[in-house]
Formats: sequence, structure tokens, C-alpha cells
Amino acid sequence: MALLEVKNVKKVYTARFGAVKVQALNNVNFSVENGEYVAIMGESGSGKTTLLNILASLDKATSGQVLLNGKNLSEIKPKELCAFRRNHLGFVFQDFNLLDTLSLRDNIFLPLVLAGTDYKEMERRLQPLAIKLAIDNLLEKYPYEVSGGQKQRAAVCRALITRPEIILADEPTGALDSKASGRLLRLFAEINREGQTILMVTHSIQAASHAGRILFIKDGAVFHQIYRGNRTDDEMYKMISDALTIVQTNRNGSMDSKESYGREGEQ
Amino acid sequence: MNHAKAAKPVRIWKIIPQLAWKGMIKNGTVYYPYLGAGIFSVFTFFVFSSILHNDIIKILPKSAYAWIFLEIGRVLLGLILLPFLFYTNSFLIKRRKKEIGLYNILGLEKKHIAAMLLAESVYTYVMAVAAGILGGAVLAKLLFLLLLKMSSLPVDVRFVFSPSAFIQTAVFFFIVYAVNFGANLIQVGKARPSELLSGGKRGEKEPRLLWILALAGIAILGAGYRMAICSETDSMIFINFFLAIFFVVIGTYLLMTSGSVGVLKILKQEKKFYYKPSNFITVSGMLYRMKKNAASLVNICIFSTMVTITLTCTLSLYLGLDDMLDFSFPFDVDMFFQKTAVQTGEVENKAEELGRKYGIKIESRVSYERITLRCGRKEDIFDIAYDETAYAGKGPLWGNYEVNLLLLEDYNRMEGKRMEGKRMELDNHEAVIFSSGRDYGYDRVVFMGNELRIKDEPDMLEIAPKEENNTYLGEFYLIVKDEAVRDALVEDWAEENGVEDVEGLLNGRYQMMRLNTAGEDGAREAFAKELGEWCSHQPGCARTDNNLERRSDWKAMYGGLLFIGVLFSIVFLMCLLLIMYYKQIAEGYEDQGAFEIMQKVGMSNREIKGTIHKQILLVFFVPVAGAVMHTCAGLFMVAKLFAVLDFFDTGLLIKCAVAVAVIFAAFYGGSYGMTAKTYYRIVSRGE
Ligand SMILES: Nc1ncnc2c1ncn2[C@@H]1O[C@H](COP(=O)(O)OP(=O)(O)OP(=O)(O)O)[C@@H](O)[C@H]1O
Ligand SMILES: [Mg+2]
Repeated sequence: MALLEVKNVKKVYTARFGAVKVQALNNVNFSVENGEYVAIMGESGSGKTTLLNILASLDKATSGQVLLNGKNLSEIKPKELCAFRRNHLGFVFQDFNLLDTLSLRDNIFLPLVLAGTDYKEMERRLQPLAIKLAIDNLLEKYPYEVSGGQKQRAAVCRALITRPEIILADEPTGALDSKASGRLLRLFAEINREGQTILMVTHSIQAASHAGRILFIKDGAVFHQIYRGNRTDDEMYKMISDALTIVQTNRNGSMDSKESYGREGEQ
Repeated sequence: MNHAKAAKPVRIWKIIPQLAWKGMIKNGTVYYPYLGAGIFSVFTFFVFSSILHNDIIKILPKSAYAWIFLEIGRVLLGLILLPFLFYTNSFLIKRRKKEIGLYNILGLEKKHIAAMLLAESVYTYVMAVAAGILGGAVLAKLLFLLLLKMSSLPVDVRFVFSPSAFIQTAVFFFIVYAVNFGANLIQVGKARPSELLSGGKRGEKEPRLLWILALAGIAILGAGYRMAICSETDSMIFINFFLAIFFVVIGTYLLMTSGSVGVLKILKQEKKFYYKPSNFITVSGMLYRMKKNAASLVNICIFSTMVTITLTCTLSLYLGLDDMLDFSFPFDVDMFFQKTAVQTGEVENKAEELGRKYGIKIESRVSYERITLRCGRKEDIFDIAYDETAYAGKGPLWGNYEVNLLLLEDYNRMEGKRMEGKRMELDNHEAVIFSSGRDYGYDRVVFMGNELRIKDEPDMLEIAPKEENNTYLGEFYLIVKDEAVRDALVEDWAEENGVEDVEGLLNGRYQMMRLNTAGEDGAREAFAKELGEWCSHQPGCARTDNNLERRSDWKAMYGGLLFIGVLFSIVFLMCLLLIMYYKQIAEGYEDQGAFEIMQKVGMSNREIKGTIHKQILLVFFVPVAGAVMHTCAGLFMVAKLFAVLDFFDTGLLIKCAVAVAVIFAAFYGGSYGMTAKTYYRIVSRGE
């Protein structure tokens, strides 16, 4: 059974006044296996953030189902939703979303504190992670005292410390320079090798080329996907840019044999 | 290139006033409260100043006290408004740093930004002063009239606006806004553009020398408390009162600043406590803005204290007014005649005759001989009086008292009813003593070296009321066997005090004739007036006191005090409300982002509510605890001040304080609920 299953998900935004409706997602279907590293790409306004918010249970789908470990997100009671999010999902945001009032250590502890974890246990979990993310000597600093890359690594640390089933990242490299981006992406690849499932929205081909699979979203639906197979990052980079060219030139959204194109490199 | 460069500055200078105006409107959520706070401050200050410059203070008797109260109030108001507006402003400039940084990057130079800030300050100043004074002019008069009517003051006071009230208000707030403008300039001037862009994120720096601040706070607060609790009712009382307030305000500020930061730091180190969901956010959030937090703690505490003390004073004064006046004026008419010249029979006949004429009843009438001597007293020794104007001669154990020498014959006649027909017998070395203050309690009195055994100390006299707390103006009545004994005492007193004309002193003794009336008020007043008028033409008349008239004078003065009290209470209450409300709004906007993040990370609405309640409860409970302590200490001071005004009913004072505290707690609880709701609404916007 897949870790995450997305079935026929639709999302329609309705303006508060008037009948203006925006169809942000239109029948999205895909699934993510345990231990996968999936990147989602697409043009601006194609519905990536909308999709991620639905997966994160921050927003509700208009119709369709999202199953995490076989559990339907829409069946979780609103009261338990927060706890569910805390215990099963980890988030990394483009603008880091660290609290200025807390030191990096306390920012990282935040979800554990909310879950009522014992202090010793929090420390035990933090130490190896902080060393791996190379922020162990920055823990007492406050967000405004460290660089963007360091902030993002702290945010990754916060996402990982709850040992979530899946990490959801929305343009995690969006606010970083290329050096910090490269470092973060290597980190993602590394934790993925250690078994962590990652789902990442990105605009950057560079970022996507580290992933094991790339989903292309267009006009609110999965339009195309690429599997890595045994390709190197460089080969992936080339494939993604080719695919993007096709996605962008093919304005009518009809791309022949999108399944076969994507799967040819597999197995 | 060249002409473009030349043209640009001109255009920039032109758009700056507009830029400032737009900036204020765009930042309305934080700017309007600042403006509102400014308007309200001006309003309050102007109302104070207007009243201070009004005739109500000048035309009433004993007005010096009321004037001192008002002046203290205004100084305190200034002391509190300045930092209050300063902190409000510093919050504002923090929020605006980002926008200003953007302007800087887009090409506005520092001088342009300074000009923009200046324009903003000028707009704010003009609007605040105009609206505040306008509101003050309308409402002060309205309030004044309303309260005159409410307390049915007989005084015919017109409320006039004095130009100096306008000028003082305008000048004071010019200074306030100039200080704020200077602070903004410094803030922006020393910042780099990159810092400006990321402004509004940095937490507040911990005050240095926390321990020293805390110790100084405790010492100063302790000194203030000591002064309030221990200082004696004497001529220094008003200076002490003012000093005590000053010390308590400064001490509260130091202690609450260092204390709150210190406690928060300790809580943060206490891992088991700190890493609990609601404590975690609360403690870190409060540490993040510890100075602002402490300032609001202090402000809320001081204002709560002012509200409770003012209300308590006003209420107890209102309820105890009649008792006070009864104590001050036990008789309606007092007539002082020279003993050697008076025709008592004629005076009594005239009183009867006038009583019939005006249709009133003469209720109690006393007539007795009295010599009053000023003495210094230590325990049971009465000696020469101490010169109060020369501090050197005044030992702490010696107090000055008036000693009234009375004769046994008069005593037996007047106090016969109380003694159930029994007569007091005294020999040459015996006396009866009565104190209008604390009980005398000794079994002898050594008067200028003459020892007299005390045979009795009655609890009350027909001719003088007694109050245990009457320590300031307390006097003694010493009743001796006959004229011979008394004259010997007077001679010794004269010798000790270097008075040579003993004969004259003895001849100057008074025959006191005092009476009470019952009947219709107007008739009683007319009676007292005519009797006094008649007496003044009689042989030996030294003085007559129409106490009915004096009573109404005093009532007017207390009416004025009550009115000031009610006005102050309203003003303080409004200030307090505004401070609490504004603080919550301001922090709500500041915390919006944080709560959004916390929700994303997995904090439920219930947890958010819990956090908010904990935070607000802490912020609101601490100052109330402080206010209760301050009020308790302040009550000592109030009791002593009131004793000067012949208010001795401590029980009533405490009852009023408790009643006020309960009402205030309810009001405070209500505002707590309201602010919590507002805060929650702001931080959970979009949920
Ligand atoms: N709250 C909302 N209300 C109405 N329409 C919305 C809302 N959020 C997004 N949309 C619309 O839904 C569509 C998808 O938006 P979404 O934010 O998911 O795009 P995106 O792929 O994340 O774009 P980008 O790459 O620019 O971040 C857009 O047309 C957007 O205008
Ligand atoms: Mg997006």
C-alpha cells in the first residue's frame, strides 16, 4: 500500500462575494510510496501550493480523497487535525516560518512541545539531527541572527524532529542563494537515502533534479511525470528541462503517452 | 543624466508631505491607536489643567489641599503619559522600519526620511492637540456641570477656560512629540538599510544590571511604603505624601521591570516548566518584548492603584462627610466672651428671645470658663511648647498640644446628666483629664512641675467629641478643683514661658457659651446670624462663630473634592482601559504571524486560546496584585491625610476600600475578557 494516495482531488476557490470561481485543482491523481523523494513542478498558478496545502490538511479538497497510510484526511475530526499534522507530517516553507520569539533550539522543539514530549527526549532527538544539519553551534541563536540557509536548515530540523511519515516542502530553496540551495538539496537527498519520504514543490530544475520522481502539474492536473531510475543528477537536469519545454510549449495540455514517456526509464 | 539628477530632489521634497500622510493611513492599524492615545492624553491633560486654572480651587476655603491634590495628579499624569506615549511610539517605529527601509532602497535619502518623519510628527501633534483640546473643551464643561448638579453644590462656580491651560497643554505635548520624533530619528539614523528591512523582528535587549535594578527597586519601594505607613500626621504630611507616591512609582517601575525579566529568565531555565505548550509560547513571547511588557505592567499597576485609591477616598469622603462635620462643629453657635466682662444672663435671654422669634428650639446650651495654654508633652509631662518652625528644638517624642483648663464647678454642671446626677469631687492635687484624641492613660499629670493625680478620664464630654485617631489636632481638657488651683497652674505656665503679664493672661480667659439648635434650616441660619450680630456689640465679646455657615462652607469644599475625585476616577479608568486595550491590540498585530506559523506547525485553536489566556492572565494579574499592595499601603497615608480633615472613621475607609476593590475587580475582569477576545480575534484572523 502506498504511503500517500491522492484520488480525484478537486479544489474550487469561490470568492466570498459573487459567483467568481477559480478551479485550482482539477482531478489530481497520484501516489507516493514509502521512502520516495518526489518533486512537483509546474507553472506559477498551476495549483502546486493548493495541492500541498490539501495534503498538509491545512485546506480541504472540494472533492476527492487524500489517504495517508490508508487514513482518509477528510475523516479526521477537526479537533484531532492539529495533533495529526504534528505527529505525521513535517513542513518546510519557502519563508522558513520560524518564530522570532524563540531561539533556533526552541523553534525546533516547538512541535514536540505542543505534543507534550519530555524535555530529555527532545534533547536526545535534537543532538544527532543538529549535527547532521550543521546547526549544532547555532542553537542558542535567534532567527534574525542567522543566515537564510541556516534558518532553512533549522526549519528542516523542526520538520524532521517529529519523525514524520512524510516531509512536505513548498519551494524550500525559493529564498536561498544557489550555494545554500545546493547544500539544502544535498541534505534532502541524504535524509531521503536514510528512508525519509519527501514531497517537494519547486520551480527550480536544479532542485528537482535531485528527486527520485518529478510530477508536472498543469492547469490543475498531473500532466506528466519523470522517474529517475539510474540517472545521475545531470541527466535528470537535462530531462527535466526538456520536459518543461514540452509542458510549456504544449499549451493545449495534450501530451501524448505521458505515462509511457515518464516510465521508460524505470526498471 | 545631469538634469535628471538635478530635477529629482525637488520632486522628492515635494512628495514628502504626501508620502508621510499616505504612510500614516496605510499603517492605520497601528497608527490610529497611537493617534487615539495621543488625543486622549491631550484631552486628559487639558481637563486637568483647565480645572487647575479654575476659580473653584481659589474661592473655596481650605483650597490649598485640593490644589495640592490636583497638582500632584497633573505631575503624575505627565510622568505617566510621557513614557506611555514614548513606548507606543517605539512600537510604531518598529513596525514601520521595514517600509522606511524600502523607501531608503528606492532612493529616499536619510534626510528625506527625516523630513518624512518630521511631517508625520507634526501631523500627529496637530491632530492630537486639536482633537484633544476640542474634546476637552466640550466634555470638561459638560462633566463639570453634570457633577455640580449631581453633588448639588451650593457654590456658584463658573467653569472658565484659562489661556494658560491651552498653552501648557500645547507646550507639554510639543515636548512629548518632539522627544518621540528625536527617538525615531535616532532609530532610523543609526540603522543600515538592510537592518531597516528586517526591522520589527529583533527581540528587546535585556536591561543591564538586573540585580542592581531589582535591589534599587525594592529599596525605593520599601522607602515609599515606609513613608506611607510610618510618617506622622504633621506639617510634613503633604510633602511626605508626594514623596511616597514618587518613590512608589519609581520603585514599581524598577522592580517590575527587573522582576518580570528575572522571573521570566528563571522560568525559561526551568526546563520542565518552560517546555509545556502554553508556558512555552507565553514565556518566550513575554521575554521577546520584556521592556514593553514591563512598562505596561507598571502602567496598569499604577493606574489601577490610582483608580482604587481615588475611588476609595471619594466614596468614604462622601459617606463620612456628616460625621466629619459633626466632629469639627459640635455646636451650631460658639460665643467667646471675656470672663471678666460678660453678662451671661443677658446673652441667654437674648438667645431665648431670638429662638422664639425664628421659631426654633435651642437644644443644648453650655456655658463654661476656659483658659487654653499651649504645651509640649512627653508621656505624662507637660512642659513649654516647642517651636514648630525651628526644627532643631523639636524632639521626636515631644508633641505640641492645646491644654484647656476647666473648673470642676462647670464640669459638674455640664456633665451632670452623663454622670447620672453624681458629682465629681477633687482636692487640690487631683484633676480630671479628657483627650479629644488617643486616651491619655497615665494616672498623673506633671504640669509645669506641678503633679496632679488623675482621678478620672471620661470617654466623652458634652462640649468636645473624641476620636482615637485624632492625633494631629488632639487637645486636652484638664479639669481642676477651683480657680485657686487653676490660677497657680497658669502662673507657673506663664513663668515657664516667660510671660510677664500674668494678670492680663488670667483676665483674658474666656467664658465659652455654645448652643445647638433644632428646626427649619433657613430659620436656624437666620437665628445664628442675628445672634452673632447681636453678640458682637455686647461687652466683652471676643468672637462668635456661626458654625452653620462654616459647615456649609466646608461642605462646599468637600463637594469640590468629591467632584475632583469622581473626575479623576473616570480619567484614570479611561486611561487604564485604553492602556490595556491598546497593549492587546498592538501585541495582537505583532503576534499574528507567530500564531499563523504555530497553526501550520500543528497548534490547535484550543491550545492557542489556552496560551492567550495564560499570557493575558499573567500580564493582568501581576499589576493587580501590585495595585492591591500599593492600595493597602496608600490607605495608611489616606487615613492620616483624612485625619487632618477631621475624618477619623478608619472602619468606613476600609469598608469603602473593599467595596471599591470588588467593583474594580469586576470591571477589570470585564476588560480582561474583552481584551482577550480582541486579541484572539486579531491573531486568529482568517480562521
Ligand atoms: N485562497 C484563494 N482564493 C482564491 N483563489 C486562489 C486562492 N489560492 C490560490 N488561488 C488560485 O488558485 C490557483 C492556484 O494557486 P496556487 O497558489 O496553488 O499556485 P502555485 O502553483 O502555487 O503558484 P506559484 O508557483 O506561483 O506559487 C491560482 O489561479 C490562484 O489564483
Ligand atoms: Mg505556490
